[in-house]
Amino acid sequence: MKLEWNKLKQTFQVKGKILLPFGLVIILLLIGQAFSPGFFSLSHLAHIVTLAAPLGIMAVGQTFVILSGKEDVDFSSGANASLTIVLAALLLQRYSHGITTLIILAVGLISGLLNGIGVRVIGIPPLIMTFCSSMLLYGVGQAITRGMSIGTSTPILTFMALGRIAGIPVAFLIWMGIIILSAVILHKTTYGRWLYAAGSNPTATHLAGISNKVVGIVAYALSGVLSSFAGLLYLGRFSIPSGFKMAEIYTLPCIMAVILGGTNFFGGEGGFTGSIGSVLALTILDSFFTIFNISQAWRTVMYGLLLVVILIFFVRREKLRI
Amino acid sequence: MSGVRKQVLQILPGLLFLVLISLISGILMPRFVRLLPSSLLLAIPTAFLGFAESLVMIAGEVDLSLTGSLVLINAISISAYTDYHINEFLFVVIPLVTGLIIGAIHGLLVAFGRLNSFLVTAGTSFAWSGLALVILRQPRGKVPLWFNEVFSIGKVLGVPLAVLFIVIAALFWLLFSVSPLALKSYAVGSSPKATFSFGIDVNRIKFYAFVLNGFLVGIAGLIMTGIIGSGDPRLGGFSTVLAVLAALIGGATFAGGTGNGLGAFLAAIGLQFTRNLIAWVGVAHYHLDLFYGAALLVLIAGIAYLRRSREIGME
Repeated sequence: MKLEWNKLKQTFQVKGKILLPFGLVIILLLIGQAFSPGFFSLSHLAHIVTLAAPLGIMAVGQTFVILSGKEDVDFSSGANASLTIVLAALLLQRYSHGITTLIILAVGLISGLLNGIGVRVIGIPPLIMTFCSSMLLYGVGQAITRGMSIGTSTPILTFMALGRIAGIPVAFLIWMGIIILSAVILHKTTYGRWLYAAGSNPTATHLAGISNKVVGIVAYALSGVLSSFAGLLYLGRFSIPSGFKMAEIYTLPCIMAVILGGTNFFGGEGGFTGSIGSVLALTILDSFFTIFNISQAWRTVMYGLLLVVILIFFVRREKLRI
Repeated sequence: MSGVRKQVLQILPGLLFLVLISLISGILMPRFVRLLPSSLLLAIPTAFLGFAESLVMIAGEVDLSLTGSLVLINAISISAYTDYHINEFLFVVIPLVTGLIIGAIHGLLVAFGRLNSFLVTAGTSFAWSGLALVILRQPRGKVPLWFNEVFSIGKVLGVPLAVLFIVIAALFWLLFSVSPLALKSYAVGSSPKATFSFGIDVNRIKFYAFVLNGFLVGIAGLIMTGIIGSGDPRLGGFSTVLAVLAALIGGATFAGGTGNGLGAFLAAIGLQFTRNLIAWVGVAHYHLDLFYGAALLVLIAGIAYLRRSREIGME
């Protein structure tokens, strides 16, 4: 009987973790409806989903990283996307979309691999490593643009970021496609099993003959590639690269979304479903900031404080006991 | 006295790094010696940040908010003087108090809230720099006339300002290292569980470490404000990374339980000189951040590799 009860409790907790962000979405939508009628309409929902897509894609990468280990987290997603914005605008002036995308993904891959090697082989703490690499990525962006705005988005990118096919936002379709693909990697491949194993018990994983290093490095690489790709959608939305730190503000939401989505910060537990809800919730929150005309500076403050609040509820150390 | 010998030995890595960089700079840059007083003064804020970072790293935590804290301290003190016309002498107190409050907030969250110091301080860093931007909006403001004069002359009663600050830092470190708090900090950092078992309040020690850290960041903010003579919501880009690296060179590890504030102080000066060196070698202005950032990352990687814990390797 006790076992049954525990099992029931466990299932309910897992479901609860996933339900919480979606509940938040509903509450935020209702609040929005109260302040500006039409907030809960289908067309506005489609708009929110469009805006949420790039953050959602970055959060997918972040999920891989957070799942992979005890303190693993990628602080450089925003910087990766920022670099993509300036780099892609520059490359598109001369090269085709295919080549540009390949270069962008390669840059993301390299920076992700660099993070992975720094953390897993050299032993730099994840936040320090990705903090440093984000400074480097901003540095590259600054060096490329030399403080000027070069190039613009293209019609294809704008269509990807803001367009619709049969009423469904293209960005949303891309986001869902990436989630399905990643879910297959996570739940149907050996790598997915290894990732959960490495995240929940690295010693046992190591003893089973699996390299924690490789598992971790691949996770960082995936995060790098996905956040670089998300940058393409940001370029499509912003249309003009007006600085080398345009996606910096999404750094914290990307981490918050994953933790709020029910993925355990200490690794080995979680998935993408909850993150969809939390990404939507954060995007609606962001649209509130736009409605109430709250400046970029205040948004940064809010996100910083929100992260602290989320940490208080989701990521606390155990109490010291003798 | 073995205590003195131990102190000297611990300061050695930071001191050697500073001497090495100074020697290279002196050989490559003929004007290095002539510019030494001013470049030394410019490096002092970062040096205090390195010192501050050491204190929390000794207790086994990290503060990644230094850039944000520094900017917020600058913004609050400038706004208090320019917008609210506070007393000229209160102006000196405000940065220190702001620093203490910021440190106390971090201490509360990390020690008593049991939160991960990496994530919390990365979050508050965004919050603080956002607040600074809200307060200042753009580079603006002024400092009291006498304050400005002290920093533009760079001397107080014939003593160079930089030397004065180095002496203050050394005294502060000496006071700290002979206090019971130092011993407890090292203990908490190296093994929180064992320290707890001996009846020491681990959370309180961590809290104190963050408060002291905040006070030192306050000093750094005060000096920084004096040097630039106004408010700037976008200053101090590399501060956090510099401070962490300086603490590492000074002997600290991410695992906690080791470190030397004065060594980190000197190492941070060396790191600032490195920037001057890279700029002088002929790296263009818009490439400087990239090269400097890469140099810092290589240094961090090198130190982390040398001191990597066996657990991560496992193979």
